[in-house]
Amino acid sequence: MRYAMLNDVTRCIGCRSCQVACKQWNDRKAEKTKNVGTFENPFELSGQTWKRVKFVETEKGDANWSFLTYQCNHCGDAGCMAVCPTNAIKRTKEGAVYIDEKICTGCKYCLNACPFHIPHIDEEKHIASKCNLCADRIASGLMPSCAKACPTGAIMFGSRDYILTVARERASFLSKNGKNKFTVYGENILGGLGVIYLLPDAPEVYALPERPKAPPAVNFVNVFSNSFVGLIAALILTFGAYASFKKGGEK
Amino acid sequence: MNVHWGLLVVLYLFLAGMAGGIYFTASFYDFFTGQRTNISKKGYTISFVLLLVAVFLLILDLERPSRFVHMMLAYKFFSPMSVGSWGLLFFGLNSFITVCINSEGALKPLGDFFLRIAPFRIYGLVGVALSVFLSTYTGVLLSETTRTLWSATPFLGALFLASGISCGVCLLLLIEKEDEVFLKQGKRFDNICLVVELSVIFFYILALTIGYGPYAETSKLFTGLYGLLFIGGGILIGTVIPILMNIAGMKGKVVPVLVLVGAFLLRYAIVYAGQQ
Repeated sequence: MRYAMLNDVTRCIGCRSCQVACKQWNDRKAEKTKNVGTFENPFELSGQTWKRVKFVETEKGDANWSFLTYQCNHCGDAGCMAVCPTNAIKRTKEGAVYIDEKICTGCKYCLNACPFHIPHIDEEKHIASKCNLCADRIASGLMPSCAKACPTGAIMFGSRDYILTVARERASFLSKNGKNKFTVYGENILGGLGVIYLLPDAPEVYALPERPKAPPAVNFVNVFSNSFVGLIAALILTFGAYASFKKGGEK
Repeated sequence: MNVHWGLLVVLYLFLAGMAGGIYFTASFYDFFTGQRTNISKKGYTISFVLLLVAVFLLILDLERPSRFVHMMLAYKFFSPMSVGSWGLLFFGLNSFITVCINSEGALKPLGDFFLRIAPFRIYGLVGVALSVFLSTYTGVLLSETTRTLWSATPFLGALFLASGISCGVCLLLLIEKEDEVFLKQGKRFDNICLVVELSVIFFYILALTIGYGPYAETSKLFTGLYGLLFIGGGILIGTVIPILMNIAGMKGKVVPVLVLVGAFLLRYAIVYAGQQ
């Protein structure tokens, strides 16, 4: 059965318990961070930070501050997995996309193939590193550490069907009773995300791409089109070589 | 945004593309002139050495040699890097065989052994096919990502192929001093490569402009430092000026040097701007 996580922006209070729980369970080290003019800390994911809370300020009459807990989305069509040359990126039967540290070569192909820019290099081991949805906990019948630590129920975990039902119901209720039009993000994009977001605004407000692009390797169109155009160029250049080098053509 | 693929990868793409380009030129020079020339013998050796340097850079980027071996333990048809690693290995093996066959020294017995298996022409043609693969793959590798500048058009493979072959001819033109016939014919072939390269650049820019207009992600290749490197370095220094100098009949080693510098800057600009 495929599992999923719900990140509900309407319930998140930005306490960062999820960040801490993630670091503790996955044995990630603390890092020196910089103040870049916001309360976000850390400001970006890294090889040691697999989860962070985005602080998003919007103005519609009153200033509104919302928080989005953010990590790997465990895409159904995972670009990182498609391009990985050594099969180091795998998927569990529960749908968690994880990196096998023993096989990863640190080639950084997945870093350039992820539409959400999630994987980062673990500077110590020089391999790619990202959230594994606490695959070991899920295999033991536990929920991911971030979901367990969340004090407000902003992070929910369960079967993907159940999570989608909850997300749709909440979005429908809130849209009817509130000022905003709520969005369920991640239902169908990229083969369906393993992390579903309930957003009070359009996805781009939270720097989530509305139509994220899978690397072309997933549908293989670019390999063929690029190779085909390359082949045409090769034929032209072969003819060019013949015209230039043929016997008696030195004049 | 972080730059994940830096100078080592740019150099790798440049040298691997050039290694393929030299082999392509040397092999076709032999093939179409019907003789095994000194310049092509030098070409095979340089191609092999450049490939070794390129692989060394790749290993430096991966930090451990064993990680390159990991690439050889898996074959993944849908990953251009996996397919490319195998292509690199086969090109390297074929290139080594070619060097042995053309060797007059310690490698000669090995070369004779390979000649008993197949005639030289076969190794040459297989090498040409692998060299086309190698030079094209350096572009296809970039296109299989979510970076708009790399993946939005189907032209990067052809661009890096034409540029790699052009670099290959130019390096041979740089080292050759005596073979007047090759100097004349090589220059002519170089001009054809440069015209093809310039045409592919035109279609690449056209596809980006039509597809994305002034969208910020693609505009990085045409403005600021990367714009200067791409337009001033890759296009003007690397193709337009050499074509005009060739047409004007200018002699000397200036044109090959300009082409090599331009080709490096072209790759540098595309790789770095694509990650901004």
